[in-house]
Amino acid sequence: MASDERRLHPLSWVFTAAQFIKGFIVPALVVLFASGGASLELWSGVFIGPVVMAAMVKYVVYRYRLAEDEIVVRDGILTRTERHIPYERIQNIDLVRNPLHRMFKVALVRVQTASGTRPEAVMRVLSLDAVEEMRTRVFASRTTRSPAHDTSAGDDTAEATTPGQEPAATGAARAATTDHRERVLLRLPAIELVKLGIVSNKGLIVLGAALGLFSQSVRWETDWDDLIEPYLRSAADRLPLGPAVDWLTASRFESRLLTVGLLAMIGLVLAIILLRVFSIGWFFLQLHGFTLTRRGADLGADYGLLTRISRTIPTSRIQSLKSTETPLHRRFRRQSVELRTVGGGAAASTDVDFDPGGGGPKAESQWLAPMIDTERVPALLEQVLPDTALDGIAWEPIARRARRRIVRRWLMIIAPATLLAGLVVDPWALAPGVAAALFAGLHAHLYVRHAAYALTGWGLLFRTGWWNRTLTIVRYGKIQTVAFGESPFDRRHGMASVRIDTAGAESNGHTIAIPYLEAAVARDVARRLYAEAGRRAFRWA
Amino acid sequence: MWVAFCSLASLVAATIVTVAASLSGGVTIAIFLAALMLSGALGVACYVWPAVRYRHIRYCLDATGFTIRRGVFWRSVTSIPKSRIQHTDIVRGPLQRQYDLATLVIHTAGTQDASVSLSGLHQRTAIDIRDVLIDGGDERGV
Repeated sequence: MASDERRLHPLSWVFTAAQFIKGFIVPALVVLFASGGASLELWSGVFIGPVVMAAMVKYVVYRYRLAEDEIVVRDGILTRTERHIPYERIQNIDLVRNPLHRMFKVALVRVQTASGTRPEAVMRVLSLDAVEEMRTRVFASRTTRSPAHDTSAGDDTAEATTPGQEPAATGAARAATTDHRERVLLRLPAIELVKLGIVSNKGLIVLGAALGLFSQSVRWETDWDDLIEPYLRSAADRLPLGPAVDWLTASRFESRLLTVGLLAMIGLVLAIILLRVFSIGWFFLQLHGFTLTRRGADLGADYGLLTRISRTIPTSRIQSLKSTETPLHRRFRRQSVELRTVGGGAAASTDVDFDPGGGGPKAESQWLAPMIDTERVPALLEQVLPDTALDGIAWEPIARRARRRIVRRWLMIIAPATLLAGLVVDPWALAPGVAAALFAGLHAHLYVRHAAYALTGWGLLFRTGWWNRTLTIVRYGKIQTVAFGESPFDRRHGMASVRIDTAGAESNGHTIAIPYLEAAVARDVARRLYAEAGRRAFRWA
Repeated sequence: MWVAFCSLASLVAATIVTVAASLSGGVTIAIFLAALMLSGALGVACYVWPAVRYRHIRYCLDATGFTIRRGVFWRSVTSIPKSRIQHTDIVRGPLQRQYDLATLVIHTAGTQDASVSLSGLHQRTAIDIRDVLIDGGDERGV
């Protein structure tokens, strides 16, 4: 038994130490500079020495074993822990490989279960062979489960076969889930990343990070004006703005105003372009070479330019799917599809043993397809979840009377403000109010036209929004609770809403809330959802 | 009984409000009277409100699971299928023990409805509901 025990990769202490030092690098550098550069020997003695020692001890102590149906992890010197993780409960096995990892052909492994906030085990680091062995063991245990078990997984795989189909189809479906060859479902070429960068606002994050870094790299007592002004001045000297500035100061007030406005507009356009460039850069770093594969019943997603992340997600663990479509998406005929699992969600972004930047599940969404041709979405979903079929869906609209309610709500805000402005300031001030009211009407019309839900044989779908459109998909088996709600306003209009709750829906929009339904319809929908959810067992696995 | 318990609590609250008002508004009689009237109205409202609220709370136990209907103005009907219940708690505070009451808390794997609680049940009823709900838990996946 003990002979089965494995250690981490022999070089793992390097990474443990590096990880530890990374957490302290900024304060350490500040202290280093502040102390006027103490001798390096002293530093390595005081700071790095113990860290390396601790890392080596960790390597000696940390053992894991791949038992018949579980991973056993032993750790600790004084307080010893032995952790058993059944293969069946493993949600994701994530790999993180930064350039250093890749140089030594190793990877940081996170084993995640449904327990939510943090990975069940973080193995820093394993050789790629060891990782492959672990993955095969975990997968193998899944396939050797009895077929009866597979069938009882009801909501996930077996119900893909409709009564009309031949038994052969059942066999094929089973073969598909037990087929262990890797099939590529989606590959994102660079041009798609550029498009993704253009449609998204991630540039702001990069800008924020840059500002943060800038503010950190500058000594506290620095006078900001002193620091920035020379740059500005030299920039003004170098750029051909000098004459413009001269002219600005010399010319008359009106034209000056015009020029300032023009300059501001140019600046704005430049800023937007810059943000988009940042955004494209961000996605190149994060999602370069995004590949979505399917192996057996598990999805694999690989991405990243410098730090490569590969993530394994069992399809049955997908709680909900959401596709987003902004007007820019539509311009490119693309959609972004995210998925939500438990244990890899936003809650997992909390620091895991000094790992603020070590990749892994962050608050950002888990992509199923960051950018995909709109026409390919149904096919992709069908490949990901064999029991879902997106064609021939009978969409049900929300109550058309809702338009009047939406308009009225807007008018409650617009009308008093407009009237006040019109009476007090100027009759012309009525114009924006009228425009806003017209827009409210348009918005209400388009909103009601685009919002729709559908109860299919396998789950609930809801699409909403006319400018940014989203489609959320939750299978009945993943519905936790069903809530029917009536506000006083709802009751006055004989309407109601239906909301369902799913696991792992931390961020907004990953659960479904259908507003403005006719009360009777809402009651019926809630009852049907409750019955459908109750008929199916909820399985983490 | 639950009404009695709630109105007791609200009467205490009303008294506190009155005292506070008399302390702060002791400058003129008028303000004092206004505060008294306000707190009196508040007291009556506090006395009536629990009864109204109580009338709007219903629960239903069926073969599929457990349904709670509640709310006077904002009404909701929350349904929890039996198979989605992770575990249940029965919580009893000192006051609830005094009146032989209990709160049933149902935990699910959900997010917003991760725990759904129903207070003001007789302790015996709460235990009975609990037993029905967690019965047959073996067929669950986890």
